[in-house]
Amino acid sequence: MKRDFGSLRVGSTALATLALLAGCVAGTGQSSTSASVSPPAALGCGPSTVVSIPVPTSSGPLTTLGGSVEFALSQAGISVAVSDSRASYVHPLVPPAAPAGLSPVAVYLVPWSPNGAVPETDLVQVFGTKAADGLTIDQILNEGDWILGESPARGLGAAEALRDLAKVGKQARAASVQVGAFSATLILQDPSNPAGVRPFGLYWSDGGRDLYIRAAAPSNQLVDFARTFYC
Amino acid sequence: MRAVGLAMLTAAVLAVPADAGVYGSNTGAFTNDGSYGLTIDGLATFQMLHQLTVPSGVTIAHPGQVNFQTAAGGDFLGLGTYKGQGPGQDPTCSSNYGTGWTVYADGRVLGVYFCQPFQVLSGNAQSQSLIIQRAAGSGSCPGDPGPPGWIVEWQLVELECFSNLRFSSTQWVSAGAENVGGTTGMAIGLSYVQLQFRQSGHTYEYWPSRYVQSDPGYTITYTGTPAKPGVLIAP
Repeated sequence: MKRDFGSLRVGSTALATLALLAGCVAGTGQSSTSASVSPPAALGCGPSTVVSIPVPTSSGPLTTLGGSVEFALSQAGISVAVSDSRASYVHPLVPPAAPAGLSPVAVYLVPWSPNGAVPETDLVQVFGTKAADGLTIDQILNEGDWILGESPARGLGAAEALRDLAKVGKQARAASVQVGAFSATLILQDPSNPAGVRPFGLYWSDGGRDLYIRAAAPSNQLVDFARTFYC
Repeated sequence: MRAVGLAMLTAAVLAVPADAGVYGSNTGAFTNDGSYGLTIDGLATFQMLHQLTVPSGVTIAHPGQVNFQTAAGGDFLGLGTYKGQGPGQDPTCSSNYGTGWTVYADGRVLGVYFCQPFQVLSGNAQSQSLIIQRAAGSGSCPGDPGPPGWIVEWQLVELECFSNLRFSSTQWVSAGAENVGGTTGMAIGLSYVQLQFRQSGHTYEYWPSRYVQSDPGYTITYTGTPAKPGVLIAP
């Protein structure tokens, strides 16, 4: 079943500004005042700005070739535990809770390239309802499962993601959001094949790590999930 | 301290428009995908194009591409020629039902498909060199001091440098010819005079015949001496 979550509207800029004016401390959720009628919100933890990413009327992969060559995560990567010493170079973030209705089902170390150098290896956590072995990323996304990826910071944060899309004229597919104290870029992505879902991707850096979340879910759910790390 | 009690977390109003993307079925004349267990940072195809007429709504494309197996989204960069309906339904690569073939690059960056057309070649253009390769050093892409990008070249002239693909190499490359929206056995209008890839730190080498496969309805003839093999395809 194809799902599409191509447009989102969240909160307002004014509210975010008010949150700042209220003296909130980003990343802690603590306010310097207790006189507020409404619960104070830290920047990136309260209501966000209204954003809309229209679904492109025509865009997608041309072919199976154009859809890239993808292998199962369990084939392309190494199955590990978050606590595994091989994953420790990332200092993995472990979410306080999985996305609603899902559970942690797998963790992989996935190299970007056959060089396999540490800076080119992602730690990928999969949240779903069943084992991810034998599934590609696209299949995982089609199942409604979520991907959390992270690596030591290597220059793929929010600003770089925006720049990368602008380079190919696709900046309209991105919107800036706030994740705790950090800027993040939300991207409406393309399905990898005609029957695929159109997922969102959320990319940011927290200084020590570059992170992303991918899921075919309402975009605010990705943002909220990311915020649980920092808020 | 976490502030999970912040009740004002993102009250989203979500519109769910239908996906208006339109796709056709694909019929590959041949595909040459796979993991070679090598560290590859360059792909070179030398195309010999043939004149043909493409029916409305059909795309014929001759892509060569480097695929980046990543959890971030299966990004890739391709370079080739097409005629007929624009690839990927992307309006940037407009339809071309004329006699010529359009040189184009396409790919996926952070999960988003893009397509970029370049010049139009004659319908029977010969020995067209199309190369995708990792640039030589940092700052190689204009305006980007970052890691080396990937360059696409036509006839040894740089067409574009993609600094947004932060991959030093890949073990997944592919080349082929295919139609979208057409029929099996449809004329595909291409011979590869040469197919080559480059392993990191090495010079280009010829693509072994054992990596060439055809789809039903097509015949592939691997020709030439060991020094210069080519691939001829025909319905």
